[in-house]
Amino acid sequence: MTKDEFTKLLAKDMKWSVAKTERVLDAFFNLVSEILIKEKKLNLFRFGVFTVKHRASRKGRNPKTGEELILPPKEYPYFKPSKSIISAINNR
Amino acid sequence: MDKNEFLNSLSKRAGISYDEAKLFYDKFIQRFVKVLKSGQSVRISGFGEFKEKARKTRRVFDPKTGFEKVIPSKIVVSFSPAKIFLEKVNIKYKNLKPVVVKVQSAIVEEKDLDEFNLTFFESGKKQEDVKIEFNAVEEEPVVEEFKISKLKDGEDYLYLPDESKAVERFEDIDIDVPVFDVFQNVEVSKSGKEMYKDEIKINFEEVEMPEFNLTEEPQHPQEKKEPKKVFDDTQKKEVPSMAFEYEEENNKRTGFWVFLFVVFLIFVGGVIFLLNQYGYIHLWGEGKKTSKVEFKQPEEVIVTTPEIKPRVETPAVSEERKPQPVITTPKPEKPSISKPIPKVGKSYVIQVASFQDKKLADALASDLKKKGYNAFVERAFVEWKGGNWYRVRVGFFDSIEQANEMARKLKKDARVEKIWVSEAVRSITK
Repeated sequence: MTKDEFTKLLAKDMKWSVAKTERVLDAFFNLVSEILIKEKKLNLFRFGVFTVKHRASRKGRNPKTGEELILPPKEYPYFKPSKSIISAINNR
Repeated sequence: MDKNEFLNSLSKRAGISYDEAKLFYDKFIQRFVKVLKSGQSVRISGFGEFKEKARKTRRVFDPKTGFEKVIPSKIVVSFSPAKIFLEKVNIKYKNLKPVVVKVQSAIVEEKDLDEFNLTFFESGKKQEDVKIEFNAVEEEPVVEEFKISKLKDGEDYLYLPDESKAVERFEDIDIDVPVFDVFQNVEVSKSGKEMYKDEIKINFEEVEMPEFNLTEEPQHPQEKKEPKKVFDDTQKKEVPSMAFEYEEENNKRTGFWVFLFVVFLIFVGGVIFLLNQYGYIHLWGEGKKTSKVEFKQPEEVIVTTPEIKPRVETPAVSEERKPQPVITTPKPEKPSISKPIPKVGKSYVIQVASFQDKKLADALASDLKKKGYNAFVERAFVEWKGGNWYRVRVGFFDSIEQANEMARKLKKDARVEKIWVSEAVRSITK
């Protein structure tokens, strides 16, 4: 489901216009990403925890040519859903 | 960051009240769960994709009780970040790129193997080629036996029988050539690649070392031992041959350098020719002449016009007249000369039109002359417009204001749409 479809459904729930819900949704995710970049961790109650974890540099290999590479370090965002969400999804 | 702080900043960011933000947050989570429950994924462009993922049942050994424990199947939400979001997070490491440590291409290894096998098969098929390669390895024993025969005979130095003997022996020996050993090693060491390489390298060294010996060792004993008896034959045969080889090498090198030099000369010549043609350099005169001719044409026209007559003629006339009548004539004429010709200052020209046909340009210029303007035709070479252009221009003005006034008059009289004023150096007219 894309963001457009999701905003339309949300707008029906909120009884707002689609434009307003889209604006708020964009603000929501922008905020999340900004806070993640700054603080590396964001705990949203009843939704889940976003964390940014560090991946150290490692040796790799290009499977096509067989060259050995040193891959640079990387930071990767993770999302761990809250218990309430998981229980809600699993109880069908 | 707490939920309250987050909602506060959200309300500020989105321009809504705190209660609205709280309501939005709750509804968002409800809708999010509903969508995931229905089996769809939530993809938000620029942030990432939330997707549900099924975990299978697992059996785990529990160390406390000592029994196996069954963990039931579960659905988990997985989050895969979008590319833009990843780039934003990794801004620190933006400039880092993977560094190649070892270039270990599988293709190159295969080529090496092929080459190696080919050499072996060739040796099996074409024995003659192999002979030539390994002849020199076993020349030493042959040479020793020659000596014995020579010593016995005394003064006979025939090469023919010796060569035939040598060939026979080579045929016998060639079958046991070290190439075969190399192949055996290859078969044995196919298990591990790294070992394989090392062994191949060692074998090559073993094979190649005798080749190096060929060029150096077998020649010396022949030179040393034969010349003791006959110096002339050996020296005549060997020394000129060596000299000839050196000459050939020198010829090849010199030929290469001569070729480079010729190419360089052609390049330089072409550059000079082009520069001369376009008028950056004036080596063979044509360019200079054209530049002079361009500016001589207006002189001819100017002479005919009523206004410029005094300008051009007077300097010649006044100098002649000065010695003859000292007091009478020159006084009125001198001021007239001095005003129109300020040698240093700029002068301005009105360009009425430009043609590629000289006839049209002359016709327009003659029309303008009849009306009383100081018109003349000037030739100009314009590269990007394709050749010679004949510009119809009207006389010289000391300032832009005068020129503009004349231009307005010309627009009415000559009915020309575009007229522009440009600077021109007065010294050109002389």
